[in-house]
Amino acid sequence: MNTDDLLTTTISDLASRAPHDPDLARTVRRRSRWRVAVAAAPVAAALAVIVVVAAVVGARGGRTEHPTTVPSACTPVTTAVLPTWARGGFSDAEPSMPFVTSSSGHLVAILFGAPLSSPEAKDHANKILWVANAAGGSGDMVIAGTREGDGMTMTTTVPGGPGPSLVDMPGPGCWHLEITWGTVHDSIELLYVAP
Amino acid sequence: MRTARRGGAVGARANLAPHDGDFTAYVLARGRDWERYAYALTGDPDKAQDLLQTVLLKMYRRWRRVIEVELPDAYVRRMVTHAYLDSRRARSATEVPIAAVPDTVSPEGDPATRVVDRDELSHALAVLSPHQRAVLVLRHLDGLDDEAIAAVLGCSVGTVRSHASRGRERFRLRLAATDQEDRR
Repeated sequence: MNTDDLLTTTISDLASRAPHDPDLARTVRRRSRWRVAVAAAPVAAALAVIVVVAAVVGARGGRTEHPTTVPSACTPVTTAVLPTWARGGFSDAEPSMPFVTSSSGHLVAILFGAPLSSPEAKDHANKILWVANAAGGSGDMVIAGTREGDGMTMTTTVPGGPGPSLVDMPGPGCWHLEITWGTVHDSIELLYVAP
Repeated sequence: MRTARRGGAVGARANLAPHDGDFTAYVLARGRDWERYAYALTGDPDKAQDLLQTVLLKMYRRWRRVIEVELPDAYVRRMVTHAYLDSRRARSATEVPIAAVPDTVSPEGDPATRVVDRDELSHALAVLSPHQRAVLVLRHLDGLDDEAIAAVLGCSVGTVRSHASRGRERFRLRLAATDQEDRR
């Protein structure tokens, strides 16, 4: 494909992923009215804030806090809209995927093969797309894993740093992964189930 | 905005209400195209929506004047483009070039790899200067010729061609560089 064709494809593809507001005209009119209201009644806005804060404080005061117990570092993987910085390349403007966030919050493991399984499931591989929101990383991404409970270990490398990978584990369980690439160090917990 | 400050809520609504139908019909017909255009320029969903809504808000408030002076499409294209260039000019001093991006284009195959490929192409667009990007989006998305692009940007045809040529080359070099990094 020549550069002009590639530009046309790239720009059109990007444009097709533009977020869509099905009621754009109403959104604009609402913004217009909101601006009018703010300009006309700043005191009313301030009072509204006070009322909301008071309601929230009141609600908190009446709530009984129960201590929560965390049986494992691995929490169930939920399918949710990816963080803004991890959406690059997805056709949907707000892609919803099963993913796990690292302890720093700057790395996500997007699970293209969920649930992760050990040994590998017959119908899907343990495919993980790693996306980082951290500068300073370069070179291969080294993963050193330790299984919760018995301390079983594993190591693997994702060539070229965060990107698509297949990460298999020697056994099912909750795996704590120490991840390093370049000067970046992070950790994450991934649950591998027995298929 | 000025109307709101002077006239208050009731006065502002009374002035705007007669144009609501025309404005809504226009946005219904052309809104999606402008969403695509704003997103192709910014590459950021929040910035694209904010940019477009701000321009449409101005248009809504001056609807009669806008349609008296020029075609609505020409107004929106010009305003969105200049708002984008202005916003980039304000931020350019603090921006950091994007680090390494991998791989070649693979329209078929592994979905995770496709995501990465698309991301790489988007990053290659991100290295363009705001003017280069605006010219290439107007040319490759809107299909405008150099004269029409010059009219939108308020510059000469020669300047448009220069931005297009340099932007194209920068895009190509960026893809070549990432491809090379990957083969190491």
